[in-house]
Amino acid sequence: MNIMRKYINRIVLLIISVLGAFCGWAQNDTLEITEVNRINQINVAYGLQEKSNVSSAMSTVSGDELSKGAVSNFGNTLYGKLAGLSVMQGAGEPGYNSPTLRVRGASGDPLVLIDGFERDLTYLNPEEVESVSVLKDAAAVALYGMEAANGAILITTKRGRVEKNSIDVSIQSGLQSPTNTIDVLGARDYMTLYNQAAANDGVEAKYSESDIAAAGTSPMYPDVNWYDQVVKNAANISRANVGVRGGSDFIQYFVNVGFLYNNGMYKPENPDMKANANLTQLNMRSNIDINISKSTRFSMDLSGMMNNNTFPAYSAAEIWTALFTLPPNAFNVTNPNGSYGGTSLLANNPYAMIEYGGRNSSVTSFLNAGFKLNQKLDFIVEGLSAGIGYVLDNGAVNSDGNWRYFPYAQIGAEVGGNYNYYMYRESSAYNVWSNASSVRNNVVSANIKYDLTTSEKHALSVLLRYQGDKEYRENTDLSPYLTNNYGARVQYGYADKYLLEASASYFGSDQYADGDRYGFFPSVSAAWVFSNEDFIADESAVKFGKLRASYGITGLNRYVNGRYPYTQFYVGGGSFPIGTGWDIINGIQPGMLANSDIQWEISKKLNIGLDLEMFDHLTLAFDYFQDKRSDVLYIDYNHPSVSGANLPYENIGELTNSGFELELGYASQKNDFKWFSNLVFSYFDNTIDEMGESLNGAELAHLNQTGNSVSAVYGYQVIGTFDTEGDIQSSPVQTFGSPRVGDLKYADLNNDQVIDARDMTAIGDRIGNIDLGFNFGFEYKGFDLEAMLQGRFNQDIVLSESQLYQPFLTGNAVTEIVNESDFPALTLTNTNNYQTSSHWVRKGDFIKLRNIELGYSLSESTANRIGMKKVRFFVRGVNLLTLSDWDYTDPEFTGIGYPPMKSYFLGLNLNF
Amino acid sequence: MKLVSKNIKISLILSVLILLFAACQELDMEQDTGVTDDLMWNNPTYIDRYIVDLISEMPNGFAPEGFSQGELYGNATDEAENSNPWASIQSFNSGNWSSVSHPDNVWDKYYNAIYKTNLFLEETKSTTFDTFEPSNRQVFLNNLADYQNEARFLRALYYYELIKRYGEVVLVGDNFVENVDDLSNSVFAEGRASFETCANYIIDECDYLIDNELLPLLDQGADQGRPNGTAVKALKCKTYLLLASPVYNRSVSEGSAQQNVYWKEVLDIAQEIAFDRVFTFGSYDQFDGTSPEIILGYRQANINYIESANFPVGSEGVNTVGSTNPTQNLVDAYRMLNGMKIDDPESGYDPANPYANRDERLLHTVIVNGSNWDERNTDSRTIEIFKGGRDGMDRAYGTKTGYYLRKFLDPTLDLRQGQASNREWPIFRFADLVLIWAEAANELYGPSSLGESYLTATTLLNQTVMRHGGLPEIMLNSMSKEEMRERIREERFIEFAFEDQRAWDLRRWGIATDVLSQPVYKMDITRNAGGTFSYQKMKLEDRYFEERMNLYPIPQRDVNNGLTQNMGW
Repeated sequence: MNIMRKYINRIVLLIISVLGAFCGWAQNDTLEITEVNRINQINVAYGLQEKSNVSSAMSTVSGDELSKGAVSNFGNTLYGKLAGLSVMQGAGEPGYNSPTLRVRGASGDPLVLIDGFERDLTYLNPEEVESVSVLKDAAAVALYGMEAANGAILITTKRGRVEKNSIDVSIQSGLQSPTNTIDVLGARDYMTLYNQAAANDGVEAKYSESDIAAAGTSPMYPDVNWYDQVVKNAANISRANVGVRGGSDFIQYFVNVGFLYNNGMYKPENPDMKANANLTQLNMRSNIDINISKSTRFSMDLSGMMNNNTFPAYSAAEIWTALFTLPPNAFNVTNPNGSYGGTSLLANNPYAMIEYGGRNSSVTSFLNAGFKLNQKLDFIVEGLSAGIGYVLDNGAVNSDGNWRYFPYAQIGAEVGGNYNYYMYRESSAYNVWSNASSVRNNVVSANIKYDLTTSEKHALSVLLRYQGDKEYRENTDLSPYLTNNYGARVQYGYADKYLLEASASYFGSDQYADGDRYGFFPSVSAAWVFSNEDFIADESAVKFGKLRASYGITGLNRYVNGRYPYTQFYVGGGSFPIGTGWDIINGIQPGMLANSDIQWEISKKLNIGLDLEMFDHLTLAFDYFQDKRSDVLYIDYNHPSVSGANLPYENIGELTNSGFELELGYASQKNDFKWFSNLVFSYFDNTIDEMGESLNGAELAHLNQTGNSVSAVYGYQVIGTFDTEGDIQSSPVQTFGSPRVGDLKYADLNNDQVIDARDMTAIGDRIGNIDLGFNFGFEYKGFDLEAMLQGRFNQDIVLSESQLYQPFLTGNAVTEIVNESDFPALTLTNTNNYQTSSHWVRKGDFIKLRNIELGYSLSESTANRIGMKKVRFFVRGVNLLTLSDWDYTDPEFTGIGYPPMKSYFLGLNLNF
Repeated sequence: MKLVSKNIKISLILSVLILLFAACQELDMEQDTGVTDDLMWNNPTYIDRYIVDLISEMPNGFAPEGFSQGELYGNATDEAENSNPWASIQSFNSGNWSSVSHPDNVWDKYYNAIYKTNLFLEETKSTTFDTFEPSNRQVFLNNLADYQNEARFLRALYYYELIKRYGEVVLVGDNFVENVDDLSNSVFAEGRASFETCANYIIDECDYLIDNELLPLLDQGADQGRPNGTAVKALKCKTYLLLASPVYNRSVSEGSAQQNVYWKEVLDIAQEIAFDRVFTFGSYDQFDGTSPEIILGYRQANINYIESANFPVGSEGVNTVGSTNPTQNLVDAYRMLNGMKIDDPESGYDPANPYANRDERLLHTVIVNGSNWDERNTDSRTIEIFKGGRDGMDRAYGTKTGYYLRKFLDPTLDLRQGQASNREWPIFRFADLVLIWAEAANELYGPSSLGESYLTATTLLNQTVMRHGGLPEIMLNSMSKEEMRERIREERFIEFAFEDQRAWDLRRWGIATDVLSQPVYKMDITRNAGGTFSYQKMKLEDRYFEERMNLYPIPQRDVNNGLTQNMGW
């Protein structure tokens, strides 16, 4: 482990010194400054293409655009920017705040490629990113074979240009606090309502009037707001980035160093070690292109990252569960004698967990290296070239921890001004642990390209390529994950009017049985640039117009069955002590049944699109899609279960996704006033057509999941509350404890006069199917303002999944929920009301102000006077505002955990 | 000339292409990443471990399938109520179990275990260990033969656990599954066999092992903990017991000649176990693995989860899984030491001191208010279950009934230090066989005559009543056959409290619907000014039990696939 760390450290140092040398040397070159205009070229799979010639479905955003929403995780810059990409926010803990990404309603992660290879986007700095594209249809992802059926996100980092050296510096620092503060009951309310619940249950009141009145007045009657005790109002977050870019005809370079510091929200300080959640991260990148000869170009891309993440030894889940569910009157933070508070069962004093319990830390580092050699072969055929590439990505996580129990005391009776205590646990030394893991990925690629350059009317481009991936996902992997990908693409254009493209991949994966390893994945697309037709007049409102269509088959190489699902493996089973010494022998048992027929999943995608540019100001892109999945891996529950085998996943499922996307852009300028706005709208609909479910007959048909959306929520339909005892007697029997007046009444869907699990049905959907992004801004005389709104609709929140909304069953609960006028009868033990039911399904639609930024740039002359090309100050807010019917918590984070954050920054951009 | 240069060009392109394709890698498994079929079935260590897995599939009542560790099945009967309202065992008491959602879904568990057994029996047919030295080979082959016999017993036990719950089940015989195609073997789709066919299959398997004396009657030495020959006999006995029940076996009626045939089988095999003199009586509540009573046990080395879940709430180190709280219904069933029931006016029962002079098993089974508790063997204290007491009902996660479980627990454990001890769950206990013998003798010959039994029902009943309960001897000719039947049922409730017999006894006797639908009661305890206590019996909760629940529902998935559902589901 240490060897690995040292190795990576050394390589990082080496790179820095080599880079320094390169930069100094390149600067001495005499340069001819040229402005490279790439706006009309966009990155497609394994290449660049004129935007007007693209016939597939994709959306693109520039890295500069993303830096305006930058906080600490690259995924969180993508909200609402790209049509067809849903970004779902996660928790806010530094280092654990990755969002979930979904393309066009697919239920799996998209393929993420950085500079052409599969890599993690979490640690990228937006400042090092040139552009991000989302590839959506079959034509766009065809060359990825069976890797990108769930779409692909293509990230291209910045590269050098033949221009004078320029340095970009950005520094920003600010504060973070939770987007929403969750408010739980205080001691008096808690005790009063507890008594009411007891009364409803027919149990004696637990707290007397005087107990309630005494809350908070003495250590015997605690009233603790744990959140205030443990969580700060705000924590610091700072970022800095320096990018150097330039180059000559011989060498072009882009070198970037980024630094991030993100502190956590916890108040208590452990005197022995810093135990707060905390992240420091250093990123480095150098992309260098060298023209070795007129026809030979060598590229070397190196990127490294070191991320040091610490967090309390007690998990965030334990801490936040305690913060929100500990009864406020249970015990003191610390007792008058200085000991931590607690009771025999409630040993989860969150203050003590952080202050005394210790710390875990993990150091994640990686070094990604990519080398490419490209040779023009014009001496053979004009326009021919060949290239080879090699990628070696190494990553390591070294974690260690210091953990111990905290001793605590339960306060007892008062004796002459002092208190009796029951002591629990003894103080102990830290338990120390450490762990190391590493990953490694080797990729070999080669390609041959041909571009027809000699014809005016005809454009032809041919690509043949091979790529072999060899990936060690864990250091314990005996066999790496192996894939081979042979690809071909032919693009043909006639007179810039008619475009035709065909691509295919022949892709093999080692998880399938010999002879069944390779699949063929073809696609075709065509486009008609009707604005180039003669019948569209030059002065027409339509400046550019293109109709697109594509169809193709892609695959998905999903690892759900273990490593080699075609072979029967025997795995760990139950254990049993045998012999007089009771020596435990660990059993062994068959793992999942071998499925020698297993194959990849298939996705057949149809896409029809329209691109328009009108009146010089307005752009529009529209796409309709249909994605038919088949051979989806599900367990076939139509097999008799008495066979007893551990049923394998089989290629039996069928799903349909369809929907559309709309992008509208408007930009205008009048004198000094420039303004723009963009709207992105996505909609999808998904249905399970077949999932191996053993379908219920008519009377239980409401239970079937087949035919519903993948993310449907199942539960009971509430038809009211019980008004009278008579109402309870005359209604079907509810089997969740004896119902009382005021309890929820459920629909008897199978008409058997009993309410049990056979009466559940789809009552909502966890994932919203409408995404909206709205971005607008203006520039006026050095001032610039930009704001980004993002929303999601048709999304349901299921409250019965969290203790936060169930007072007294495990402890405290959210104040607002208890105060709801239609909250069912309070209870201490009755579970009737807390079943998953329509009562607890709430609309989670929201619109969030993801970022707003106001900047001021010094005039060019002022900047020049201090030796700068550009100086800009800015204030930025991220996640400042949420509009939603649901305001008890963040609508995207309704459970217990480290909540999502809003951030305020002050910053500076310099260019010289 | 031009032609030549073209050829050169083409050959150059071709050679690059060849280079390209030569670079590509093979997609084979580089190294064995686990135990495959080739490695599995000729390796004596793996085969040892495979049979251990099968043994571990026996029922473990300390942590029943589908429940949390320490959540005893007794919580689903009138023996107890779990203190955790969210414990999945509560579904049984509220009636929230069905073909769609079932907290004790052992259907899959035992059919999986049967599949594993059949695979073992099939694959080891061709095991020769021929890569080993001849001397070793013979040892391995002998062990394998023992394991195959153990496997056949275990398979029969799995079926018993299935028919006890589901009644008629699907018999798959020796059919095995090696790959996906085997799943369409028609035997799996044949439907449920009659109850008698299922029971007879189990009995035939047992007879094969008994008649050929294939398993030793006692597991000892290095084989301690493995299934033994007495367990095979006990399994046969208990299977006949189900055959004699009209609830399970609908082709017999109460008192019929056929039922008596089954009772006679029950009697013979129970008597045979006693005559073997391998197992005998020991002290009550001895579950540390040394009891001479436990014929077949589920051994758990170094555990404390039973204690963590069930210690009184004032003890240190308890968790919040939910404790098993004995009901007032159970506590009231314990007689006075003078042999009288507590509601007998002559009994001397004192409502202000309700736990004094009771059947000795009460305090071995239940922790009551005022019980002595030698916590961690160092801290002797009195259990305080009264309102406001350290273990009181009003405390978070405190008992809901006024009682805590005592049976099975090792009070000496210091949970703070993670101390643990060996525990053995009684699958078959000698006392069970003796009381079954008593039951059969009473049904066949009445309480006081010998008939073809070596001992009378009364004498047999006295074995546990006197030894374990400390009650006076029940005299011959002191009760009628019906009274005796009731007395044996009462004795089984007490003797086997929390040993997972109650739920199945009630069903077998056909009285589950009456008993399990009764409310359960608790004891409210208040401390008076003088240090005395007031005890008040109160209703705790209503229970829901309908006749259909005598048998578990077949999982809906298999009903949809063609199996017949049990009546009422």
